[in-house]
Amino acid sequence: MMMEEELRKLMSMALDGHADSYHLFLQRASMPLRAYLRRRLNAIPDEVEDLLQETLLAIHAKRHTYRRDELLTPWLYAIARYKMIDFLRRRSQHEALNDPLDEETEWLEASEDAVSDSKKDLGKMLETLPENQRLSIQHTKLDGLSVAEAAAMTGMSVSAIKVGVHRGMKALAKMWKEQA
Amino acid sequence: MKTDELIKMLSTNVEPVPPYAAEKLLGRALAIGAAISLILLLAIYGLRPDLKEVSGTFAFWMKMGVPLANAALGLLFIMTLARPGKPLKMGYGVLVIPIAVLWIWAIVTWLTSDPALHAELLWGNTWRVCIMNIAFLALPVGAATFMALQNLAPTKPVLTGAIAGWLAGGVGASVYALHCPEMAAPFLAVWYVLGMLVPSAVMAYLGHRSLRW
Repeated sequence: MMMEEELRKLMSMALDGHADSYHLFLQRASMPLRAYLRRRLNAIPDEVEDLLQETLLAIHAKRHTYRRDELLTPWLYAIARYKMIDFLRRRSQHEALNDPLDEETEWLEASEDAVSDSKKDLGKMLETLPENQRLSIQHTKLDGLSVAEAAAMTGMSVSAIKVGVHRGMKALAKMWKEQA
Repeated sequence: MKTDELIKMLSTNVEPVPPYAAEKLLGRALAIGAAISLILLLAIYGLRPDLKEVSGTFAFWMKMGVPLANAALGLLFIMTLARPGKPLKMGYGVLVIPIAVLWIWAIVTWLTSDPALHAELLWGNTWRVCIMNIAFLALPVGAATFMALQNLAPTKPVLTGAIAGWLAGGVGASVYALHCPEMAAPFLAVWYVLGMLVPSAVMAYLGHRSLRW
């Protein structure tokens, strides 16, 4: 219950646009979510961090589907569960088409990575986006410039930057999912 | 990529979200879709000329009311299904109540009428076009709610698509009722229900194809 209260306070601040609260919210929320995924995917621990990051991307992309007056933890776990089921479905389709031995060696190699690291590289995916989306995200989400500063720097309008970030983040979430 | 880096990126310059964003999105989709459907009706089919005279009758209100009740129930379910982790307040059985009422009315009519009239009661004069017209008038609401749902997060895509189609079919049928001359309960119980099932089936498939996120 304490987790619910704390996360909910942070999330409602985040939905009002407080970046610090949102940062803290994502950090706090990722702990129980990681535990949730780890418990259920104990046969494939290397996939946990990938899936956690995909879940965080989905939480971000779908944060407008959380309503401030409702419980937050069921919403969080429902997203994690949906992402996990979707992942397992994709994986079983993938496995049916692939030699299981290859998969085995892939996992062995993958397990050398650090636990909090995902094999997927958002930076590389970012490079494939159209320039206006890439620059909008680069300046405002990675370099931490304000939207107005990014607009001044690129010569794009403020709303073009916002649209670029919005569309770009959606495209990244999609790419993330499709990169099996 | 490290999870901390991702979190940093997601939270930097985060945009605020207005309250009730999901409800507004779906509400707007329904309003726009229904308005377009009405415009299509007026432009292509026209209102039935005796609308004023029939508008007080029981049959007319059943004909309007059953599809509208379907649409209202569909909307309630969609609002819940579009957001993760939200338990349904009602069982799915509630969705068939308006249809059950319609069928009871149809069966009573059937049993209490002269068998010589049965064919007329069932087929009417327009059964050939009924399903197609309802499905066509359901299209605007179906497309608009589908686009809204793509921006939301249904965790049961097929079911959500099917009920969104049911909602669209309900709107399509009630709009079509303003033109359609048929008044017999057996006709409505068969052709209107089939007309509403078409968008539902199409959107269940579309849900499977492209409501996953």
